[in-house]
Amino acid sequence: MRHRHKIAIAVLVLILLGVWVLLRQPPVPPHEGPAPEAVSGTAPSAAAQTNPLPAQPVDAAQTTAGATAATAGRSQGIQASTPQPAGPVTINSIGAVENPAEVKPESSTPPLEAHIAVEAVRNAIQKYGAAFGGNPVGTNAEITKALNGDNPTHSRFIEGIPGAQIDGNGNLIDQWGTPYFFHQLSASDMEVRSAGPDRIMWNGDDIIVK
Amino acid sequence: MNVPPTFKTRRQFIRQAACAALGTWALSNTIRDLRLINAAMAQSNISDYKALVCVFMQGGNDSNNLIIPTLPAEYQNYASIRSPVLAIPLSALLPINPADPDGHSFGLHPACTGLRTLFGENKLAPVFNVGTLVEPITRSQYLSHGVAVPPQLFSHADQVTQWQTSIPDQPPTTGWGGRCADLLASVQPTAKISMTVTLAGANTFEVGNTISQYSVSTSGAIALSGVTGARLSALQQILGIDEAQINLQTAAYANVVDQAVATGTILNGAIAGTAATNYFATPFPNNTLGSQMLMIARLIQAAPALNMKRQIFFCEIGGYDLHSGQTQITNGVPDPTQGSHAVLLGEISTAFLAFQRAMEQLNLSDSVTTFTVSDFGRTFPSNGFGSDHGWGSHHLVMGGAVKGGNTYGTFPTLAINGPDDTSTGRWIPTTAVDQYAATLATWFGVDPSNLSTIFPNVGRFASSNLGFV
Repeated sequence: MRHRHKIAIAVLVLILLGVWVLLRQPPVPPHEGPAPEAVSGTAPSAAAQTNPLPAQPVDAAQTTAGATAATAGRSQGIQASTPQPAGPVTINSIGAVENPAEVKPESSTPPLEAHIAVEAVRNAIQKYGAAFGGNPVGTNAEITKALNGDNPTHSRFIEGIPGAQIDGNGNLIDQWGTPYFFHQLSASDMEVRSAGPDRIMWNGDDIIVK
Repeated sequence: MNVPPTFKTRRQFIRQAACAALGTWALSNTIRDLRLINAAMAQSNISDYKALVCVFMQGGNDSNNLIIPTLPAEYQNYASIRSPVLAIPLSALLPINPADPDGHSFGLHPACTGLRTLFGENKLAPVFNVGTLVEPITRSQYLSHGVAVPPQLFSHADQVTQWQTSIPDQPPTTGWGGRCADLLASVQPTAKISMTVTLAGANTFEVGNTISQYSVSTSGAIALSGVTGARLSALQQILGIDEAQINLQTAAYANVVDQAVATGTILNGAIAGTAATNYFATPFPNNTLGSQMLMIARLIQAAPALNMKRQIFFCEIGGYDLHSGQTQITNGVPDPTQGSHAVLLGEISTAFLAFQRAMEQLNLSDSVTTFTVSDFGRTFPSNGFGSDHGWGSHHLVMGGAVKGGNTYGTFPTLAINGPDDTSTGRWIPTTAVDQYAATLATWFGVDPSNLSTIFPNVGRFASSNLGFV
C-alpha cells in the first residue's frame, strides 16, 4: 500500500511539472520609457512593469496628419524604443511605412495570449453594444473613451482585459504597443485587428477577431 | 374623466411605455403612408419618360482623391496632409474649369478622363460634401454633442441603409427610391415590369410600401435554372392547373411562378433587339459596372415596349473600403495615380462615358439622370496604407438634364481640426442626403408639395432643391 502511494505521488508530481512547463510565459522583449496608462482596475502587465512602453504625445508633424495616422501606431517614441522589424524600412514623417511588403515579421506566429486579448477587446465591444443598442463608433481613441466610461452608465468595459493599455493619444494598444484597428461593419459587428508582433498593420501576422 | 394609470411595479410602467412608443412610431409611419397614398392620386399628370440610375460605390469612396483643389495654396494644403501615400501630384490632375467659378479650381483623379470629358460637355457635375444628417450640424455642435447625429456613424451597414432611406433617425422600412415609385406608380398602369429594377440584387433604396424591386442580371431576366426532367414536368403541371379549382396556397404559388416566368419572357423579348455587341456605338467597358450599365441602357431602350414612363435603376460597384492597398507602392515609393482606387475610379469614368453616349444615341440624354452614392467618405490623412471611414463625401450627377460644367454644394476646408472636421479628417457634411435625393426626386416628377412625404426630414435643411438638375 505504502509503495503504491509513493508511485501515485510521483506520477502526480510529474504531471504537475509537465503542466508548469507548458504554461510557463515566454520572455518579453525589452522596452524603454515610462509605462503607458493602465486601464483602471487592471494591474500593469509584467512586460510593462519591467519594460514599460513610452506614452509620448505625437509631435507637431504628425498632428497635421491627424490622429488617424497615430492609429497606425507610429509615434516616434514607441518606434524608437521597440525592436525594428527585419528588412529595409522607411518611416516617413507621418509614420507611414513606405514599403510594408518588404518587411519580414520577427515572428509569424503571435502567441495565444495575444489572440485572447484581441478577443477580450471584441467581447468588451459586444457588451457595450448589448448595453446601449449598438457598438461604439469612431476612431480608436473615441471607441476606447466610450468603452472606458464615457457612456450613459459610465461603465468601464475594458476593465479586466489582459494587458489592456492606453497610450498617450488615448488609443487602446495591443501587447506590442500598436493601437488596435476597429473596423465598424455594422451596429453589432466590429472587426478588431492587432498589427501583431511585427507592429505593421495589414500583413500576414495580424490578429483579427470579428 | 380620464384617470392616469397607476403602476404598481417598474415592469408594468415599462410595458406600458413600450407599447405607447411602438404605437406612436407605428402611427407616424401610418400617417406618412396615408399621405403617400393621397399624394399619389395627385401625381397622375405625367406623360414623358424619365429614368433615375443609382450607382452605389460600396465600401466608402475616397472622394478626397476624386476631385482635388488646384489653387496653389489649397493644393499645397491637400498635398501636405495626404503625402506621401495618397497625395496625387498636381501635374497628374485633370483640370476642370467650372462655368461659374467661385474662386476655386479643381482637378479630377488622372483615371477619370471620361468624367472630365463629360464635365466639359456640361453633362456632369460634382456635388460636394454630401452625407447623412439628422439636422444641420457644426463642428462645435458635433464635439459638444449638442445636436443629434445619425446613429452608428462610420459603420458600413448602417450608413448604407441611411443613404438609401434618407431617414437616419427612424428604423428603416422603405428606401427613397421605393417611395418615389409608390408615389408615381399610377402614371404607368399598364407597365409590364416594376418601376424599380436592380442589377445588383436586393437593396434598401428600392424598397417601397407597394412597389417591389425587380431583379435583372447583366444578361437579362433571371430565368429558372436546374428545373429539368421530372422537376420541370411537375412545375408545368402546377402552372397548368386551373387556379379556380385548387386551394389558395397552391393558387398563390402558381400565380407567383407563372408571373415571374411570364415577366422574364416579356423582358427578354423586349431587350432582344439590343443584343448585338455593337448596338451601342461607344463600347461599354467589360467590367462589373460596365456590364450593369449596359443592361440598364438596354432596358431603357426597351421602355416603350414595356409601357414604362418612369424607371429607377440600381447598380453597384464594390471594393472602395480601402484601408490598405489604396495606392500602388513600388520599391518603397507610393504612386497614388495607380493602385486599387485608380482602377475603381477608372471603371466609373469609362462606364459613365459609355452610358451617356448610349443615352445620346437613343435620344434620351435629357431623360436619364445618373447619380452616385456611397457608404461615406474617407479620412483625409492616410493611415499609412490607405484611408479609413469618414463621413461627408463628394458625389457625381450625370445626364443631359444636369446643369453640368459646374460644381454644387460647399467644398470643405481641408484642415485637420478645421471648421469642417470632426477631428481626424472626417468631413462634417454640409449637404444632406435628403437635399441631394430631393433634388433628384423633384426632377423625376415628385411634386414639390409631396417632397415632405418622401423625405420627412428635408424641411430641417435650408433648401430641398440644390439646382444641379
